[in-house]
Amino acid sequence: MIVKIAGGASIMDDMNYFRIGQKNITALRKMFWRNNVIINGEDIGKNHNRTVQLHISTGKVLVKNSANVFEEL
Amino acid sequence: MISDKILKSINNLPAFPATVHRVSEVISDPDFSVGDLVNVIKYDQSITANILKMCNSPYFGIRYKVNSPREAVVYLGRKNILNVVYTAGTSRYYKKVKGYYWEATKLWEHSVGVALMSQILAKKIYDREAPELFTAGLLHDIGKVVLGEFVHESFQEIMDLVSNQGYAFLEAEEEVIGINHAELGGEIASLWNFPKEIRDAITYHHRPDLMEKGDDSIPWLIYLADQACMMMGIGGGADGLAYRGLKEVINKFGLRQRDFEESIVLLLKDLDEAKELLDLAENE
Repeated sequence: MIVKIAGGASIMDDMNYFRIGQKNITALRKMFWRNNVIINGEDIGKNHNRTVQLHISTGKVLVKNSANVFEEL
Repeated sequence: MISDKILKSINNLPAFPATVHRVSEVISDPDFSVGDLVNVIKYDQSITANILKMCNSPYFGIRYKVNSPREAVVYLGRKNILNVVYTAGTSRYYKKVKGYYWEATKLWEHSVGVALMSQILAKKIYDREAPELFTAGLLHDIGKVVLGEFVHESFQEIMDLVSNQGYAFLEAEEEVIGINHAELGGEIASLWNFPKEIRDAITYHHRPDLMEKGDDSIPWLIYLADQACMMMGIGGGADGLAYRGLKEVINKFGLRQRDFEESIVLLLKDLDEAKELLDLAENE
């Protein structure tokens, strides 16, 4: 099994409230760690939106970055 | 100065439909008659067509097929008709937005999202919905419609400040173009004769903490609704989440984490039921 994670962006200066993106990342790490699963690739945090594509035939994961370009994770 | 050029360019925007302001006037009379209201609406074909499209949206929970403006007014009721008419009159501006978005209708999706979220938050915090919040939500980013052209031209410069120098998108707009989209939006609302509370909500929607006097609850609520939509990626654009979080918002409304998360869940449900509203920017 290969695990790649993407997402968890947050608002700037979001230090003291909500922190939804940060919490999602922590919850995810915890879940995988508890089950002895290694995360093979990640594109997380920062302040931009992401669009994720999973190519079923090849298993490739592409993430659209802030410059609107898909890059392989 | 480039911002003078931009301020002049807002005069090229088509005027805000007079029908919408007239509907608002008619409704503000507690004894308004359905007939008067229908007479205002029915002469504007584009608005009438949009209203009929939206009436079938599950969001408004009408169980009958609505075929005429009269039925729309009767079934929607006072509270919803105003929101529907504003939505019907506003979507036309959001068909093409350069600079901020790669997909043309994303800004409309975001604007409807903020309008819907403003109602959810108002209900949670004040136990009532508020039409002026809905209107402010629909229009809060109207400045992007005009500024997009200029952002498009200076995009690399803006993104460099945001990605490498810790600027929020709003600050980068000011630095590079000379005006930010919130301030410009306030100017547009003023040109369109919107009342002060709506103009302020637009001008201060990223920085409600900078509002000096007057009731600032509408700008703060629009700010919070906007942040929620950004966090959820509802109509996200090139500017993404690169705006500053103001932690005062928690004390302002005494909002608990759980309330905020519940509101987000309600928003996703409302958005799902309000597809007909989202489609307006595409179909016109």
